Amino acid sequence: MAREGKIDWGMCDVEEINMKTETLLKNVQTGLPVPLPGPVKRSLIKGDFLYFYYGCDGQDDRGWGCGYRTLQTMASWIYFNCSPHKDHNKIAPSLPEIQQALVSVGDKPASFSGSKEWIGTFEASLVLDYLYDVPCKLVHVRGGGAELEQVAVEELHRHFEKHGSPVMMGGDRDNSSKGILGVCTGTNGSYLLVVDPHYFGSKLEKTELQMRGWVAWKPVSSLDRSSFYNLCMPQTDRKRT
Amino acid sequence: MSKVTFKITLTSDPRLPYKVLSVPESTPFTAVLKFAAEEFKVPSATSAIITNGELCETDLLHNALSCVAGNVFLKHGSELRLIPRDRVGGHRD
Repeated sequence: MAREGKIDWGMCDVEEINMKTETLLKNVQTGLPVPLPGPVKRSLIKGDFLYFYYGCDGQDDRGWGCGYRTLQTMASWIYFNCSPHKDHNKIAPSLPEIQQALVSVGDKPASFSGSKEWIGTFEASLVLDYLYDVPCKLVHVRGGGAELEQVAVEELHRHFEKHGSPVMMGGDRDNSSKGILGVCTGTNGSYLLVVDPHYFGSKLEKTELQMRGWVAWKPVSSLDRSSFYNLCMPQTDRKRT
Repeated sequence: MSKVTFKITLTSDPRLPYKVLSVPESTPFTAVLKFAAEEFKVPSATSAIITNGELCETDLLHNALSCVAGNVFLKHGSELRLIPRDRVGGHRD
């Protein structure tokens, strides 16, 4: 029985987690049509990654793990596309390993390990740097709406053109983690290619995930204008093979 | 004792207010964060400091948690930004 606020990882051992991870879907965005008609500027992720979501490795993290899952998606991209790190032959760190990394760098107390505490883009940056020597750029987008189109979109175009790695987006009033895989800008505004870590259930095929909207182009205008957002952008051109 | 000087900008405020802080170079950088947050009257526990690098790029102070102010100054310079941390975990709408 789990202690109050603590996680009961259940019967999942490390091997089972690794096995389930290796069966995850790769590149769930392929085949999605461009969201805008006419001439557009489109900047997309380059390279393979796996889609991580609530409970995908047997650990039920509904309600608190979405930031961790987006971080795992980013780590899988690093695994497939960057120079191998001597200490890592796993596709992505587990949830306990992410928590331990944050304790090791001194950002969290020891009691953080085994908790259900939320993390954000700052923590994701720390973990990617600590585990993979990949520095991250953090961009703060103030609430109000205007900066989303003016600041975030421009930063994302530059990021995908230069680095091509997935981005994590987190906010305050909007407290759902989003994996950003691309950006598309036309004359009437922009769209973000969002992979949503909140799915929970049996493994779906790519087309089903896309049909249900778990990976989809979302208009920037649909984001919460009262929320600030932070973007964690791995600077992976320094680590390319 | 040698001191280093930082110009820390509160990025979450559209007026971009800033404070200039001079601290002994041996000051733990976590203390710089706490002091800056107090000056701006924002919670330090939910704030983070990031840098301005060349070409207006912003790099994370990935070693800052165990760094002293002098090392941060040498590596990243004097222009810093204070941002609010996000925390995510909620359900999809």
